[in-house]
Order: sequence, then C-alpha cells, then structure tokens
Amino acid sequence: MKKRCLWLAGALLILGSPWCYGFELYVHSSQAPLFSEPAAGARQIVHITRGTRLEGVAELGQWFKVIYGGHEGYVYKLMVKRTKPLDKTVIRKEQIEDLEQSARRRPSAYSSTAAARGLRQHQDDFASQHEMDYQAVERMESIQVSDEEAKDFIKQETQDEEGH
Amino acid sequence: MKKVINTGLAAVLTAGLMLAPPAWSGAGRQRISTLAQQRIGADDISVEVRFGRDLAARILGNYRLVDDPQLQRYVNLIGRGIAALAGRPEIEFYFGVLDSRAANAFATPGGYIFITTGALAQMEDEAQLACVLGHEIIHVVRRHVAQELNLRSGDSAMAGLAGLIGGATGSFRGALEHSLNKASEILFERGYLMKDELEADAHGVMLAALAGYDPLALADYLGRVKRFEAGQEVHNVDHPAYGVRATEIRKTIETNGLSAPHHRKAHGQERFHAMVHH
Repeated sequence: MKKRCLWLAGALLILGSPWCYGFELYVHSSQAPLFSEPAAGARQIVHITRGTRLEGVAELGQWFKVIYGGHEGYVYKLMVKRTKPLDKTVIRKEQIEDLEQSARRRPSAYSSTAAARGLRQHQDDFASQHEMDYQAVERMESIQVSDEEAKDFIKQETQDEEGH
Repeated sequence: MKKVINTGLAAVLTAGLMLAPPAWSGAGRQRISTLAQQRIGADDISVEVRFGRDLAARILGNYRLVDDPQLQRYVNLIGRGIAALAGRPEIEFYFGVLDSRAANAFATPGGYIFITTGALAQMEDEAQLACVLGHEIIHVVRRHVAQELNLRSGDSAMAGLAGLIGGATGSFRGALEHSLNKASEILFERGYLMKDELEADAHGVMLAALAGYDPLALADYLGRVKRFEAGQEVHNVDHPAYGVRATEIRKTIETNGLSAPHHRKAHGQERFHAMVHH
C-alpha cells in the first residue's frame, strides 16, 4: 500500500510538471515575431498574428520558448499571455456621463472626507486646484487611427531608411 | 524482485522531484505573477480605463492640448503603432501633445498618454519619440500607477479601484479623489519607483526596436534632457539617475544583440522635423 502511494506520488509529480506537456500561450500584440534565439536582434523566423495559439515549452527571462507551425523559436514575453486576448474595452456613454457628474460633485465631498480623516492641508489644496476637462479628453479620443494604419506609417520610415 | 521495484520507485520519485518546478525559483515566481495577471478580467480593465480617463481629465484641466491636428495625429500614429506591439489589445491607447515648456511625458492607467511640447523640442528624431512613447506605454501595460496605489491601500490594485469607482456615496467619492491625488503625485511630483522606471526603459526600447527604430535613441534623449534641465527649475526630478538608466538601456540593447550592424536602426529625422516643426 505504502509503495503504491509512493508510485502514485512520483507519477503525479511527473505528469503535473509543465515541462511534461508545455503550456498554452496566445499572441496579444498585433503580431509577434518568432525569433531563432531569445534576443530581439536574432533572425526572425515568422510573424505570428494576434490571437494565435502557441505551445509554450519554457520561460527564459523575458522570453518564452515556443513551438508554432513546426518551428521552434522564441517570442518576447510582453507579446503573449496564457489567456486569449480580450476585446477592446469600450466605456458606455452613460458610464462616462455618470463619472463626469460624479467628478463635478467631488471637491466638496473630498473636503469633508479629507477633514474627517485628518489628511494634510496641502492635499486639500492640491485637490481643490484641479479642474477636470472632459471635453479635451473627448478631443483626444476623437483621433481615429487603426493599428494597421499606424503600422504602415511606421513602416514607411523604418523600411525607407533600411533601404538607404 | 523487491530490489527492482524499490529502484523503480526511487527513479520515479527522483524524476518527479527533478521535473517539478520549484515554487521558490525564478520561473516559479514568474508563473505566480502570470497567474495573478490572468485574474484581471474585463470588469477590472473597465475600471482601470475609467480611472485613467478621470486622471486624464484632471491633467487636461491643468495643461492645454496643443491646437495642431497634424501634430496630434502624427504622435498618435507613432504611439499607436508602438502600442500595437505591446500585449494589451483590450486597451485603446490615446496620445496627446500638451503645451508645456517642461520636457516631460506621462501616462495614466487605461491608456491616456501625454507628451509636452518641451519634450518634443528636445528630441532629434522619430526614434527618440518612439522610445519615449514606448516607455510610457509600458507604464500602462505593466499597471505601474495602479500597483503603486495598491501598495498604499494594502489591497489588490484592481479590486481597490473597483471599490472606489463602483461605489456611489460621498465617502467613496472622497476616496476616489484621494486616489486621483496620489496618482497625480506619482506622475508630477514623486515619480515612479526606480524598478518601474527601469522596467519601462527596458521594455520601451524593445518595443521601439521591434518596430524598426534605433533603441539607443532613448539614452540619447535622456542625455539631452539632462543637459537641458541643468540649471533649470525642474518639477519632476525623482527619476532614477540618468547614468543608471543609460547603463541599463545599453545592457538591454547588448543582451538582445540590437547593437549588431545588421539590425535595423531607423531614426526618421526628416519626417520628425517636418511633422513637429512645420
């Protein structure tokens, strides 16, 4: 019985190890280069698009060793996660309106709360100095640029210079 | 027979122990950190964006957006191109040029990123702009402000912010105001933690390099700002020393083989000057 338990424990340790199976990774950046070595200056084998599932083999500092399409290589850790990418977060108009109304009510609420907590006077002053300009935020948000457009714009310059 | 079984048993256990990742190892810690990030869901991100938008409104209440659609669009094209390479597709990044002579750039949680005309005036080319925006994008991607707020509250960052924004009472609003003040202090007075600045430098130059720009441009820009700030009254000086940052940037570049002659190192000087100084 004791031996059987020990066998089971050993087998579970092996089967539970991530090196036994690898692990799932998904590309979160618009595209992720697969490098031949864990270095951004290494040869780029292929570019992998957002949402693609990769098989992770190991973690090496800022890099994951992965298998994709029969290639073994390395992806930059920032570009992938173990979960599928989420859709863009969109804040509904009514949420924004709630927030803006709430912000307009804030200075007096803050003053009383701060006073109750005995916060430093300069923090009170700091809070009361600040105006909120949501119209300017909306102007920032109104600039429409797609990932593709931005990528092409950068490429125009980086590839031109490379060609020179 | 008994000996064979015992040997087999020992082999299985040894193999199991060797293959099992130690929880105290670097890889173990990274896995724990990755798992912690996985727990952040769509609602948490919505909270992050709403808090960041509020903070952006406060910044824009104090600094004017430059009335130059061409310049604003140019900075958005570079910024969004770099941001697309970072792994947070769920966040829409917005970039704004502020009218201020101080050479500065800052980011709020949720993807609102600002750069001043003073910073643009110190830049020589598009690569420097790409690196600075990459640095700010990393502050958003790695949730540096949210994490710092978390450190103070002793609660999880997103849960803390969710609690603040999800409420509707006066005390909640006071607490939110308090958090906005703390976030403003980080951005304008105290600066980020040194480890966060260095992380933003390292990943920021990597993003710029992956887009095709010269990653060393960030060290060049920091050197120019250092010279510019000498003798000036500077408000946001709590960044790690220039020397430390430049050394770490060079280390990242060397480690990644980005200083090799064959690696693309675009500067985009001509276009930058046409767009910024038109």
